[in-house]
Amino acid sequence: MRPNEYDNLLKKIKCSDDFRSRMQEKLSAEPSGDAGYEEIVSGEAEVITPGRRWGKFAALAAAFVIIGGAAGGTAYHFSKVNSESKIVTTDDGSIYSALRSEKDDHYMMIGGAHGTENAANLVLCNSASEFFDYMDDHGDKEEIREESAVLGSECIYFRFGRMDQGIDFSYQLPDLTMDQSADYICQIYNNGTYVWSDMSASRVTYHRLKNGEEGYNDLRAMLMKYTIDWAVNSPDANEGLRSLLDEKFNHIDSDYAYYMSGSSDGPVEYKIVNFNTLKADLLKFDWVYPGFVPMTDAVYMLSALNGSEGNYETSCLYISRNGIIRIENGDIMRTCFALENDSDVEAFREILDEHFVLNQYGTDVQDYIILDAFNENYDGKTAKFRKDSGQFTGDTDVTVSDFEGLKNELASLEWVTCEVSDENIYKDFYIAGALISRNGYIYPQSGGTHQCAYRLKFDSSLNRFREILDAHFTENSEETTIYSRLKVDKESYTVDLSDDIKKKDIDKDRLFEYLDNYDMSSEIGTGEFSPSDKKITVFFRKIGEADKEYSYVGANEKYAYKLVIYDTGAFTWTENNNGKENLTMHSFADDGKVYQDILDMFAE
Amino acid sequence: MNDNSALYAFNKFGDMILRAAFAMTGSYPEAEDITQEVFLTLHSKPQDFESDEHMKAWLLRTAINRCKNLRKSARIRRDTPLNEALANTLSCEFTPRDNEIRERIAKLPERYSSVIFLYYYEEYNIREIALILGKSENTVSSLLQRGRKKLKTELEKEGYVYET
Repeated sequence: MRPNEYDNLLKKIKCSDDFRSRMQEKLSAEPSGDAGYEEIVSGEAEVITPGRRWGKFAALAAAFVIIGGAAGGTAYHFSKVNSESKIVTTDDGSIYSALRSEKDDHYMMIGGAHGTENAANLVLCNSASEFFDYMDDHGDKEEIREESAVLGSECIYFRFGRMDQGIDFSYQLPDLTMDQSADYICQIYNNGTYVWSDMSASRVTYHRLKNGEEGYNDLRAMLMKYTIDWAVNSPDANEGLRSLLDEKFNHIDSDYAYYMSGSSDGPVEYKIVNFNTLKADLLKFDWVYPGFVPMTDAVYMLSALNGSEGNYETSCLYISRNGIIRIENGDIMRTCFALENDSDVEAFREILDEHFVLNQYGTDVQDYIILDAFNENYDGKTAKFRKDSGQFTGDTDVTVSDFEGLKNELASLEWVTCEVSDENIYKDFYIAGALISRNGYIYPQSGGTHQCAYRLKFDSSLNRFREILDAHFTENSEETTIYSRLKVDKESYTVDLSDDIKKKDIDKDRLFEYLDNYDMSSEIGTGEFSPSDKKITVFFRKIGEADKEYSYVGANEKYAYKLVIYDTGAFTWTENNNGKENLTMHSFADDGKVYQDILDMFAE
Repeated sequence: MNDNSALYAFNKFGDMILRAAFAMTGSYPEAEDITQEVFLTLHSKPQDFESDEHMKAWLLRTAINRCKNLRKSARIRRDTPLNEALANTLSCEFTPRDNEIRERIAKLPERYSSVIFLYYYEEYNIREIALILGKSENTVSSLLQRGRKKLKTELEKEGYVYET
């Protein structure tokens, strides 16, 4: 993808005229005091259950809802709707009355949704009479205008498809393809607004339940009844909980969990210490089925994925600190459990505190995180290292022949996060933005901000880790200072002073003999370095390469090594490796004695 | 800044918020929902903005938080193409290539897509993004780097070339 493709796609995204005019109308009106609307706006500050949001739902868009494979394999047998005694004869021209008059020819499916695309996993109901009874009593044939219809954040779908004669409905849910078969759809929102769609006539009408939100809750309970019937076979809640945990959460492949406190910061990443122990501890309490109940306290959530590619189902386990557990499978397969005894809530919370911990450390690290730990350029030559607890002590030549290979091999090991203050981290090597500690740690350094370190997940990997380091790192001896490298091969170089000094003949051996009296290896930092205008520059040029064109920029000298001595006692060594300069800073701490000695020796 | 009203904000930043939400969800209907929520929230709970830029940052942060919550719902979310009915309302055409990119965007974790959008499309710098998202500059920088890598990996899996 090219950045301009990204840009071009996004530039096409603009508010449609319809959306713009609807928004302008809503934003021009006084803020609504409607209960459902209040829920929308309070969602910013009170995020308890994720995914609760305001679906816009142009009703006909329901026709485009993709129905995924429903979870599980429980067969639902459809028995023909038993006609109830109530007869409604009024033909008021409404969609509802049209459906009502031919209800025996339709089956009903029911499902919940949080948004346009999430209306999936509908349940085929064995009777629609309860729904019709309810709507006869609480529905309102009076329409409200579309533009004044405020939709809620959740809705329940009731879909009605025509039964073909002779069809046996005793097939499994995944075989149902509802999109083509729905003749009528009723969407009932949690603020009491409901929408009827007549799919064949492309007609949509908006209404309000006479009992508003209460009506939604009643119908929701209807949905939950089917859900509970579907999900749990055991009449005993503890056994039901056990079976769901065993069935839906036996393939938890990560210890990630989320904690939703209700703050506006959104979910916080937590982790489960041990899911099996958590499960056992949860089952020690006595549970009951409360029907659908809201989770009004902080909630932990974790999920598990079952199935295989193309047919995955997600199960979510929500545990509220007020003693409610909710298990969701897909979008509506939802079962709630509540502590039987309120007196157990405190003990329950203690259990939760024990099993859920802030997910900062000890979690698995993906390989790209390890690769990213080395977030600076590696110059191919030097790395810092230290073996004590002090500050970095100078650069040491380390040869890493294949830096990418080193990273890849390190990333192929299994790592977990750990605290940066872990005392076991020995800061052996600093290379390309990260410390590598020989006892099994990588500690990324990001602009001096230490965030998180990584340690080998298994001690058994330590040998392999060290083999990787030994294979890739060649630590040179401490004698490999610039001066020592020059001295080893001093016969290959000429010595000269800079042009601003009139020179005598320079005795090379005498110079090295003199410098050998001083420490040429201890480096100083820039803070201690005190240059001055008075200086002597000594060039060492490779014999036979005096005319070599060096590629560095900004200098007219051609040299292999350069020594600059200041009258303050400071001095530098520079190594010129085909234009790439390596400079070290030192000090004689002699108040300029060496500077003067060199002048005396070699200058006229 | 004379007008803190939600209507003013929508007229000025509506498209931008829709785009941000789309960049994070890869879904037009979801982006529209989130945009609606953001501005209705502002309408219901007016804020005291110091400037348009302040307003813009608040809107972006609110939209991103909502996208984050949506994504963390861990529900199975269906990757629907821009369907015909919706595309018709947008008075523009989405090419197959657009849909491919959209799918990749939708698969990118929110923490990366938000940073990529703010950096590459809105052209905020690292420091500004850090302020908007309430993260450290180092974190933002790291997320940007990782996000690009991840996008690159995803695209390469599909045989595309990612060019920076």
